[in-house]
Amino acid sequence: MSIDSKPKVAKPVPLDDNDQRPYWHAASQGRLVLQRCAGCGRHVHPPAPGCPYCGGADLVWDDLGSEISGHVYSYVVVHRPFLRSFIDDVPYVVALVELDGVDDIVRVTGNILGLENPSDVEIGMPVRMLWEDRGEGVTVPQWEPLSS
Amino acid sequence: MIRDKYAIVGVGESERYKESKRSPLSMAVEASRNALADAGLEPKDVDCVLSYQHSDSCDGHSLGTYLGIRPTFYMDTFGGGSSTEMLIACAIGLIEAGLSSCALIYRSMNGRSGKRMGMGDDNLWDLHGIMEMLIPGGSFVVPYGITTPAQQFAMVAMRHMWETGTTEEHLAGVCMTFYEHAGRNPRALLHGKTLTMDEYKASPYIVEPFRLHDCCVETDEANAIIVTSAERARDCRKPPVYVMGLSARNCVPHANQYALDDITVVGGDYAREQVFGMAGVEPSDVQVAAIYDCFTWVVLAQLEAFGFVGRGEAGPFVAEGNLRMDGALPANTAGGMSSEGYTHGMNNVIELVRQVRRDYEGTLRQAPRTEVGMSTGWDGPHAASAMIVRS
Repeated sequence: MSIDSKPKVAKPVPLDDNDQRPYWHAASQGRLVLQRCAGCGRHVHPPAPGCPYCGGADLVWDDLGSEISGHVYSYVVVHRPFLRSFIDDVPYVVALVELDGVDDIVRVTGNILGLENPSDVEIGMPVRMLWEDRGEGVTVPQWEPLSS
Repeated sequence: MIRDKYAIVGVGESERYKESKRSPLSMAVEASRNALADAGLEPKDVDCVLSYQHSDSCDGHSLGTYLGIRPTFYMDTFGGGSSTEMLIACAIGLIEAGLSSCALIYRSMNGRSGKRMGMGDDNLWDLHGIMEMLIPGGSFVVPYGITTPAQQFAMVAMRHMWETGTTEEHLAGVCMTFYEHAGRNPRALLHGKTLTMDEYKASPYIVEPFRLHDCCVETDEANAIIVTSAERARDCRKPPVYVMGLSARNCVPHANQYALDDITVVGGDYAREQVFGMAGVEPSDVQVAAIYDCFTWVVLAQLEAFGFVGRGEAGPFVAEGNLRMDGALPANTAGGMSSEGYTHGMNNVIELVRQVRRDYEGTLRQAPRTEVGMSTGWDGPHAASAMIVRS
């Protein structure tokens, strides 16, 4: 029996719409898929109804699989949560991670899990993607440090 | 060209509170009456009512009703920073088109006792709405704990500071300067608040790299300004403050700042050419400023984006005292949003008008040179407004 006296508040769930549904569906399978413009070839992230680079309307999906790595382009450490559901996580890191292994610039936001201290995060730090089951059918891509 | 054809002829405020126990409508009426009196105008002289809000204000038609104005045009746009300059641009467009002749522009909010930008995830701030519209690409950041402007902008600041060598001492220079200005403004929320570098560094982080004093205040208050043609301005009570140039929500190439190849590119990088081009002046001509200061770092970013200094030079520029009353660019001279009050920018514009009109002549609050002034508005890193005015 849980000793928590407060009900746990669920973290926000991504919206469900036709542009982003494939992304989150792939996440539930532990895979990263990215939209790409069939016209100019650039990846489009977050997924959208049009290409922000050429205005093209023909967008396709690339399946990048489960072995995803990147490096930290920027980060913040949140000390005062706005969301009740993050009170127990404070202080927590949110990082904007630039993907390795793609031929253009793609950056994916996530927390960095498994850090000893938030102060261990630095710009340039290598990380690998993992998938976090949030319950209620919600899985989100996350990051963890990649030991070299 | 609209240069010098339009002017701000009146400014006014309500009382400023931590907890007003008043409706936004009540405070807006007070601010508007003060602005009308400042301008020497009657309600019947105004036919356009414009406002910005976050679903936390009163509507412009109601405000008109209880002042004795029947608007021929009213609009309550959703927005925060950048909205004041943007609505001035709208007012000018409406007057040019013959749809209005004189505009009352206001912002009224219980931003401390009611809906607060930095706190409260309940129904006051609807998470679905945040992910759908308020934050472009919101589904890809909100689930990870990014929702507030502080959290959003800190990501941009961290990268900028890493690339340019900007330090926390540089951030501190901004709030220390503006608190000093608030020290001369008895109406500023933080009037009398002193801050040393040690106290700054000892203050808690809100979201790294932003500490408590890097974040602006929150207040309950209303602000109002009145805009009309230069011709009509001649009949008003105070010296007109003429609009030389504007930029209204000029945008970076992607609505989602985090999707830019270079996250440190900001709206001001694009607004700069437009506002200075229209005004026909250079940054070095600006003698007094009101720089949008929701966070200290945002001031540094705009000083660089608008070309007052080169990239990475804003920190040292401020540390050398250049935003102080005896510096090269006295700025946020009533304390700014950092320490005076917070209506997402209008209080900064009101102070700029008072400086350019030389309302403080003969006191320590008057900036020495005020022939050309400038305000900047920050909608987010992604879109900037700006206004250059002259006496």
